[in-house]
Amino acid sequence: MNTPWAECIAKRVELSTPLNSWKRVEEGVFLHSQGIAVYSGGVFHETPFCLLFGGFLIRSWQSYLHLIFVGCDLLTAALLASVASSYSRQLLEQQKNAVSQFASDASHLLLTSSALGTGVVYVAAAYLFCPYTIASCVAQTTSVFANLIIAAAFASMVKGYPVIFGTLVALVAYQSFYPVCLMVPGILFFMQNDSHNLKAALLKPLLSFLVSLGLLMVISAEVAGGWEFLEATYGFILAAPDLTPNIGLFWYFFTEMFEHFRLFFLATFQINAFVYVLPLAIRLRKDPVLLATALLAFTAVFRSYPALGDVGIYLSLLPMWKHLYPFMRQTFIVGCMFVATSVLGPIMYNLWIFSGSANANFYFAVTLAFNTAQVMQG
Amino acid sequence: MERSRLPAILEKHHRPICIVLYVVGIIWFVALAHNAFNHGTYFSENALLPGLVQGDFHSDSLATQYLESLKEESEKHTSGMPYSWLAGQFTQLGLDTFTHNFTLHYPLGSEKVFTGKNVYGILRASRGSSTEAVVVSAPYRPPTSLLQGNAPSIALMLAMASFFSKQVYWAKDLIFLVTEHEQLGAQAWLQAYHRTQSGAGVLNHGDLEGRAGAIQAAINLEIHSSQVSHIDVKVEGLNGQLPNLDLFNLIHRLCQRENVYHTFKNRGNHPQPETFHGWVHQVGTLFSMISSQASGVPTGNHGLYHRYGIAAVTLEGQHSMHHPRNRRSVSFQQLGRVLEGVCRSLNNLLERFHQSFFFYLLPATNRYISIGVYMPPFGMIAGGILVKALALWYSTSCAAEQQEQEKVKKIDYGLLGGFPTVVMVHIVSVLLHNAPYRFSQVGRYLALSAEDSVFLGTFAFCASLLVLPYYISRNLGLQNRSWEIVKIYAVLELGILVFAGAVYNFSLALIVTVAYTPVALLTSPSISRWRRWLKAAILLLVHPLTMLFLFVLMDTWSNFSDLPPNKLLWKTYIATKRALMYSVVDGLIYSNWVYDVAVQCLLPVWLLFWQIALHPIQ
Amino acid sequence: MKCDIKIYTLWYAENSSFLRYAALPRENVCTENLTPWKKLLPCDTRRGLAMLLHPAPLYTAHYHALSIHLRPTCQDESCTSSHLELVQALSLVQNPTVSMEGHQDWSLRQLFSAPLISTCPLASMSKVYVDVTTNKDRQSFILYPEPDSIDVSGSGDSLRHLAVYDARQALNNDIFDLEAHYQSRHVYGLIPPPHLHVSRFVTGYGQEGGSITVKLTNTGGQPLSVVYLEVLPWYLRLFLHTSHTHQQMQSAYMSKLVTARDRERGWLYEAVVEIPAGATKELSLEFTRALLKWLEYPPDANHGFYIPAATVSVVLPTPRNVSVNSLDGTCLKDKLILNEGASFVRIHTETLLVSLPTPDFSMPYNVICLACTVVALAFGPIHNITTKKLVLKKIEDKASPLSKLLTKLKSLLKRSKMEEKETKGTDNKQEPVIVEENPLYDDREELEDIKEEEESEEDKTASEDENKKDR
Repeated sequence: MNTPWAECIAKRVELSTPLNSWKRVEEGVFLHSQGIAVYSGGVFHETPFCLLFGGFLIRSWQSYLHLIFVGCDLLTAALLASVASSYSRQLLEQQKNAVSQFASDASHLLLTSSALGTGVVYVAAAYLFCPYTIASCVAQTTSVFANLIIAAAFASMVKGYPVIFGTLVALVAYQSFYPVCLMVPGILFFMQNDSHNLKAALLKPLLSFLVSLGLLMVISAEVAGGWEFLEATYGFILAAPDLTPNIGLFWYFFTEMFEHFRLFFLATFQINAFVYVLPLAIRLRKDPVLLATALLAFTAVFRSYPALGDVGIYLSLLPMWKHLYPFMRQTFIVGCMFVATSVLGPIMYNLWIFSGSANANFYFAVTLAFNTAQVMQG
Repeated sequence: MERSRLPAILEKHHRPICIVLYVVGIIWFVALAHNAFNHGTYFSENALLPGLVQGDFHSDSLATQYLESLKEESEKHTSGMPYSWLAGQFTQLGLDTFTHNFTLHYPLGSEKVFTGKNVYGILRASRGSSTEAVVVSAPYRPPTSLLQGNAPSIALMLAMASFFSKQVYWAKDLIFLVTEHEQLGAQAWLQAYHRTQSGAGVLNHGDLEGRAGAIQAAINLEIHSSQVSHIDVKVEGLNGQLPNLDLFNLIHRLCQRENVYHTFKNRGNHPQPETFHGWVHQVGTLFSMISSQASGVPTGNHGLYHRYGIAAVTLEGQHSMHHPRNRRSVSFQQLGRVLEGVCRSLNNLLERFHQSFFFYLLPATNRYISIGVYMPPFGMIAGGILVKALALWYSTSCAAEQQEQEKVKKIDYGLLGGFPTVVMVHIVSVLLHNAPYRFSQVGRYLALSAEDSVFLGTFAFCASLLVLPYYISRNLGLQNRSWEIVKIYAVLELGILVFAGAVYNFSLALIVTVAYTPVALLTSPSISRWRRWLKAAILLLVHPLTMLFLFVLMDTWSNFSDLPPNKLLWKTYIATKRALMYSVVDGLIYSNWVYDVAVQCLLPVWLLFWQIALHPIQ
Repeated sequence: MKCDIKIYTLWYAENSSFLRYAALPRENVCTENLTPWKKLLPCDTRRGLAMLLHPAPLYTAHYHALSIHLRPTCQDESCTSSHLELVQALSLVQNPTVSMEGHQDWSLRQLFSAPLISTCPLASMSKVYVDVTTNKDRQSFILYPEPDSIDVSGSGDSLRHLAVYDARQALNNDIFDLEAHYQSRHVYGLIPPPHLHVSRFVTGYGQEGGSITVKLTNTGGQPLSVVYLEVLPWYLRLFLHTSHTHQQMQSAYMSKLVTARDRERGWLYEAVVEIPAGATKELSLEFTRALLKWLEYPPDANHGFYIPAATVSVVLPTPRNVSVNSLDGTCLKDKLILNEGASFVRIHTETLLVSLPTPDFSMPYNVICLACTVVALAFGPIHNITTKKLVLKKIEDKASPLSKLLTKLKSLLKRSKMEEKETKGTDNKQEPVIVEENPLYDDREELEDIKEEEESEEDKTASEDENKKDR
């Protein structure tokens, strides 16, 4: 992170969006220190809590900042590994209970504890060595913190702590809005685990979510001096006015949009990000962890300002299901598409912005191919 | 698990498919030089209005006077630039004159420090507000320089400045720039103008006192005599970047208008391009452009402007005996009118050059091959790589399944099995990438020149890498890992390198593809000994160092075809050393990434193939 | 006509909340502006000095500025009622030597393409002044006709010698063509720079970001305190924390900042910079460029967007190199007499041109279609797996494609027919087949029967295959 590459990487649009760029946090903290209303401008779109937290980090820990980011990544990897081990234990138990109903020659499909053990290592390694998460960490984006909270939420869900789960989901939804859909798999999980006390299983996480969210909102209003931060944060996420290129679908679509239809398509796209929650919940009701990962994947593709950090976290959760890899079709093609689009994307962006030789279309096409690969993967 | 039929069919017939794709691709590409497959050039930017106004330049006598006095001045300064004379001339024309100092800390060897100075004058447009500018530049070459003298360019530039300052139609400022030390001066000036740093930061660019807004275009003059035989337009820039085709067309249209004989790559247009001889001539021009673009070295100072989004070309005029037709030589007046027309057209521009092509190949001065036309044959040539990758993937997954069914675990077909080899190969390449500085340090102790030490060090390093496969397979115990998985990695890496490179520097990607696709298809471990040695020999032929040597050999032979073989080889050896040294230094000063790509991307692929070829067979 | 009229009230000049500042950077001053300006004069363009103002020579000048100043002035000594004073100024910098090979003789006819032939009858005075401070002893040039008088004012830096011509008297000879004859040709020499000079430019390349850098140079012997005011459009997103770190705060203090809101208001940035004597200070504002909606671009989108000039306000300690520094007088004569001591100067920097990244304007429909395709690519398979159910089907022996086709047709006509895998442990591979489960079909009961039978088996393998379908 101390190399000259760090500054170059931090500017890359695939990693830093207007929502998670650390430079904007620094700018917000600076404006706050000058006594200028931070949310009246169009530069800072993080939550007031992030303003406080970022301010604290910048003022007191400026020289250790990269260590903090690396530490968060390591913590996230540890949490994901614990999620993987708990989940695999649960899968084994479920299989043990149902093994009598299986066909005898389906034995090669059975899960073994050794295979699942390596799955745990793979999950941790996938998060630590995934180029997307490493780059996100080097670029010092706030996706690192969001991933940490998501991993903690997964861990609390799998280990069965509904109140903590509700609080963590409230925290991450407060920061980046879309992970609010993680409540559904969480509630499903708690209801399945605690089948004799359904009402409590439903109410505990929900109540803790609402209470935490309310508290956070009130604190934010205090810090930001009013409720105008809502327009600058959630209004910004929903209305997507900033058309900076990123790896998502929104920016070019709304650049080339006729004004007349803007609201309609905005509503459509935002609903599209959430429309898969219910059908997938019904379909995957027996496996909430898989549901949660699938929802993470779909929000990473369809959110208004995606970044590679969001892609990294669900990719690193996939090794939990490596016993299903033989059944997956097109792994080769999808894998090649991921690699090819990840290499071509920055090249096309450079050609458009710096050399002036190519067009925005090339970069958008590569982005579309990347999203298609993600969709096929998910 | 039943799979779909297509991969199976592909795997069964992949060898003939790859060969057919490769051969057809090459034939198609070479056929593109024929006029039936390419298009005539045209103007996309209508605002240029080339040649609409009659040229008015008549100060050629003034240019001759300037030339005489400049020659006198340069006699007094044999190795430097007559800064004060030049600055004085610009000032007397009423231009805002500035000088610019820069320093280079040479990164290798004895780390000498070079200083230089550029002189430039800005003609402020009376109607504009200095928001845009056009640059006319000329490199200054002292009499002791090895390159051809450039005094007539500066004389012409001064005469043009005097003529232009009397005109009232300028909407953009004109910057007249005289640079020192060839590309170094131009790069330093551009870096100071935009306040950016490139490469390793060894060029300390100083600061400019006067600026003129955003630069829209630049013309570089390299006129070696006051009576030239033709004008050659050079377009290739740093890292193979090309200017907008409209600028090239503009120069050619204006040369046509003023009856100036104009060439590209010093080859004029064939009078009968539709015939076989015409096609062969155009193929020669095309290959000449490919070879100069592939090296990533700009053919003139103009090449450094492209990175900043500034369209630039170099006009070279020399008195050559290669065109013995009864053409009158081109006078200062005609050259001046061409330049006047170019500047007036550039003055008309409202927007930056963006309409016409940025990626093209030129078989003639009035024909072009755009990216949409040359990419399909390239895709065919490189398609064999992708087909091979798919076929390999299919065969390994079938073999893995079969192995699992038989419950025998002889060979590990896991994807992660090939990982250690790939990682090791990349680590080694990164080491080599950072090595030239160390080599030059070592060379200093051994009293070798930086050139020698870098070349010998690189050669020794690469020679030692030849035994890497034995180390990997014996010591790391990777014998039972599947070589096919490693080949998948190698082939995929080659594919990505080639397709990504084709977007940036097409010629380099083409050469690498043509050389490496057969290698990618052929490489596999063999049991018979002579076959192994044959494959190893072929692999050695496409090693990046050997390819460099071969290209330099071809270049030397084309320039000095009358030398005896041993002298030719010695000259080639010296030129190869120099080429390697320049590519390293260019990477550090200008960020020319050919060396980086060759060492960090191509060499690992080659090492992987080498490892596969020498893989022990069970 | 009195020349020393007082300003009526100063309240508007002392309260900065009444300041309004606007700039149109792209506009060029041209004949369209000159003509209505001339029409404000009492004699229009028919009489007087305004007849000298022909467009052609004016707009080939190196510098051209038109200005209008309006202010309330006292009507009389007691200052009980006010007049509105209108001052119109035209500034011109011409360079005749360029086209004349160094000869620097000039005349009104040459500069304005016509001599003065009349004065305005409504004017109470009509005078022409020539600054001859550098022409003591008439060594450099000689004026013809001879001036009526030479007024000397000030001393030191504010010394001024003005040659005065009364145009009315000069026109007794019908034509007044003022000429200057120089002894020698012009030689461009070193021009001493002014006390404060400013240069502004954009650094960086590419269309992602950059920074606006201002260089303020103080060539005098005393430190200067300078107010720098800049108005920037919203699509340059400034990052001020990079330029106002702690060290820099000592010499550049940001006195006002109004942050921009996208598409609503731009940036207003004001800083006070302390420049020591003989030093150069740099202020640089880092920005990133925004991508606008395609309809927000002007027709020549690749030309770029203009950034208005910044304003530098400074109080110079001496009037060296200042044309006018007395704001109280009305007549030009009073303005040309410099006051010793502090002079207020406002300098405008260069306008800048920044190019923003542009989308492809010819592709709105294509973009919409392609983006919606990706959404549909996700929607389709999800819809498939969430509304369909997987059922096992026994695989048939390898049959010829024709018989396969026939069986397929048969199955389509007979509606879905499922067979159950009867025995376990057969050597046929199990191939899951997707079957439409549609409650509207008649054989729903048949479906339910079969469902019950294979439910236990389906649980395990179906969940496996569901997961496979998820991918």
